[in-house]
Amino acid sequence: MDIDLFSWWAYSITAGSVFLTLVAIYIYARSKNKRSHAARSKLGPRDFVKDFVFVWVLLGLLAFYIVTINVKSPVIFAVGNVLVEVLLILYLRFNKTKATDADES
Amino acid sequence: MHAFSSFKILLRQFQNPIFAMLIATAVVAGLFSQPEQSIAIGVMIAISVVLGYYNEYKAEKIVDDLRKNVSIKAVVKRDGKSVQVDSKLLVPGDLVSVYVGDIVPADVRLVQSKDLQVDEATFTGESYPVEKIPDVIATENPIPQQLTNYLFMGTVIVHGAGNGVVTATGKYTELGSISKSLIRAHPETEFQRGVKKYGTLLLSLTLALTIGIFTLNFALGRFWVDALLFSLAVAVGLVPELMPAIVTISLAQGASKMAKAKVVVKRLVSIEDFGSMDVLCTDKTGTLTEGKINLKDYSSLDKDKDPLVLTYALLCNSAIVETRTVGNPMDVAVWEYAKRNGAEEPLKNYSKVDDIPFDYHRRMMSTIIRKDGQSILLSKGAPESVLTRCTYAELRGQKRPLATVLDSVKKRFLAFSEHGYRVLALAYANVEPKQVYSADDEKDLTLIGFLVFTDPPKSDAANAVERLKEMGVDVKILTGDNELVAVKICEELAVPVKGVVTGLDLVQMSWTKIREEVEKASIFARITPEQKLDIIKALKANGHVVGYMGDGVNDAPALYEADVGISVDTAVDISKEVADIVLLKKDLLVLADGINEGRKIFGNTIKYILMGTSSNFGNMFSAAAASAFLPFLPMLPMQILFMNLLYDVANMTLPTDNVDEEYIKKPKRWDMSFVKKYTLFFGPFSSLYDFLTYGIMLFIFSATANQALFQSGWFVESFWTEVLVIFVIRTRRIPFFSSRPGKWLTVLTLCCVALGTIVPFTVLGGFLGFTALPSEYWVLLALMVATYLVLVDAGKVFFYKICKL
Repeated sequence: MDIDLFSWWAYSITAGSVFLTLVAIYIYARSKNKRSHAARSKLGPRDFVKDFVFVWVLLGLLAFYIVTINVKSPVIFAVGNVLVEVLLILYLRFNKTKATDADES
Repeated sequence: MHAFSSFKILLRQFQNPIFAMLIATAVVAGLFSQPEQSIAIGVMIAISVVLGYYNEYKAEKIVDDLRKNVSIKAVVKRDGKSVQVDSKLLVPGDLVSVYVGDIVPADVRLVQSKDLQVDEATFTGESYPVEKIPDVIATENPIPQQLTNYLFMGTVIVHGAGNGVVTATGKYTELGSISKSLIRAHPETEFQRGVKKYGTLLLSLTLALTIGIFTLNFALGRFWVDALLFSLAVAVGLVPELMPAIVTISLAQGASKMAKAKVVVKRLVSIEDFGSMDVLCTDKTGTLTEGKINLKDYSSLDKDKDPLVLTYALLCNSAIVETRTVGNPMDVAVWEYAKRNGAEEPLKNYSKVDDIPFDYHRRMMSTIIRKDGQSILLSKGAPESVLTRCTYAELRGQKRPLATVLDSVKKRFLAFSEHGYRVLALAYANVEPKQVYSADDEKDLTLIGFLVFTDPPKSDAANAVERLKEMGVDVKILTGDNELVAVKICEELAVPVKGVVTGLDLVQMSWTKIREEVEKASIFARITPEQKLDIIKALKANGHVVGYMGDGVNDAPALYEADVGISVDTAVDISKEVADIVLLKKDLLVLADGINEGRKIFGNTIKYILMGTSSNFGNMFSAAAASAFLPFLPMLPMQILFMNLLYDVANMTLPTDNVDEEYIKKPKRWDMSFVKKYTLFFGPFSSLYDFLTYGIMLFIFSATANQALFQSGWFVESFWTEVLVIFVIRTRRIPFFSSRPGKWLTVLTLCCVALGTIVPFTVLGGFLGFTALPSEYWVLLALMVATYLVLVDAGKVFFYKICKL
């Protein structure tokens, strides 16, 4: 029963993450189509990776959560969460918006 | 007149389909031996009704108080004196006076009239103004159209003045008896259309999910009552039932704040469009200028201040001179000048025979007078119009062919215009005596002189235009004056002039060309009321949200056509009645404050919608999905409803939240595709964390065999994430805590979080089916929620980089 339930759970949470990734790619692609050709040609693979940082973090986090919960360790779960938070806060620091230009885009 | 009823507001609370669902849930629970669920749902219904009623009542009260500031006044004789009273206080037998621009305040039998013409279109459908005279009508049982000695409530005086006795008021009037609205209903605003679309989207999602959940749970072998209750509870959890109350209270509180800034909102929903407005069309009088028109000169073609020119200007004049002088501001200015300087004396030598009223196509008016047996036609109007009807000009008492002096005449007129003065030309012709005269008689005129008016520029107008520009609102001047005057005023005030289009240019343009030109030009001079409408329609067709500010009788159609009709307290009744917003002071700076307020309200309403479609939706989706693989329901219906109630209470203070400065810098439009993308993107974030909680509860805390523990764990997690994420969603700033939330929002949200946290440990928690949670869980929960909030913030970096609203 436990194994069945875990499989169900792991499939569901993975499906959720895949869905979110697909949504991100979909809205990213749509927005790119709307941009001019000139603007589009300037965007390289590095920009793509940069734009999707949060998606990679999310997928990594998902794998980490599934493994942690499988080994049933609250300690690893807690430590991993703190680490991820630090990473995300660093990411936010680099993407900080000033109060005056937050809406200028 | 608008009135609100407490009972109707109470009734409205039950018209919400969500209450039908809640009542159905309570009845099903009660019928199938689950009385505790039935009671709990009943209590929640009561609390929701009280919350909704309280908010809507408060909002209606605010609006009702505001409307009193712009009530329609009537001039009535009381104790032998003419006084202004609220038109609602009139009684049959009152002697009332009506003037051009007034909305007739009651059914009135005329006893005296002067060139009185009434627009009865809203009443009889007759599109041309009807002349009204106090004569006796011989027809037996006349139909309203035949009653030319009656004024009907709700019709508009378009010319002249009159006195009459009130015969009926309120619902006893002809208009009241047919229950017709005074003014055509306004079309839906962009915001209303947006909310409707959003409602349809949610309804289809809810319906699909409810049917899906019920079918799935039933197929999995659960008792059908449990499956039904669960699916209904999820539906209740999905629908933002507080949305009408949140929107109404946001709008009402905004209207109340705007009233302090001297902006009275008559139609609440227009506030949102007010904030979205990106083009403002306005006349220059009172906005760029002080709006105080004075007669500066009355010159003949060779000398200034010629008394004959002033006498003719007083004779060829549409102002009504009684206890007060009312009418066209320039005609009033001539009279005021004459009264101040005692220049009315020569008038006794003339008798008036007939008038040919002003219209916007001829741009002139004429009066036929008689002196010493000679009939003279006097014409006064826009110089371009009068000159085309002149054959001669009078110079030093000599009549000469106009062609011989045309250059010097034009130079004189242009010199006045270039100084920013408003100029009217005056001409005359000796005519044959007859009973009735028409515009065809305005020919072979002799130009005699000019009337020169001043309207001082407003010192802060340039600042106001600049401020509106910074706010993303393009100001366009629509004026009846010539282009030279308009440009001169703009130059004096350092208001940038992008381009000038005249009424004559517009006539020659195709619709496509008009749409192009309205984008380029900032001044539209010498335009007719119909052209004002064309300009507004063209701007709207180009995708702008257009505001129109006007105060005259001829402004009413444009005020109606614009997305936001703005009038001023001193405007004629019809303009005030048609307008969505009335300024107590005609000032662009006042308007800018109002726009800011509109944008804040839009911002706070959008926050609620984004909350509902992301976090709330994510939670309910997780509940539905979990019910497929869990051996028990992930949350009991009663628990879902309790969470929903707490969530609604936390959201009650959203209308008071602060809005980031940068958010209100530019106009915002309702964008359904943005809302959909937001739901698709942020909804799964919440669901992923719900699933994570399921994993923790099932596999770390072994809750597979402990339903209450699982439900308590998920209740607390979903409530924390659902409520706390408001602090992240409410701002676009990264990190979210660089934007300060409203005081009340913070206090109430944290109180609700505290309440949701301690509930599992209380008697109420036991009643709702919760149990105490282990201490380790709280540590993991805190870390998990922190990660969730930071991750959503990081998601914002990605999302706002590519999606705009």
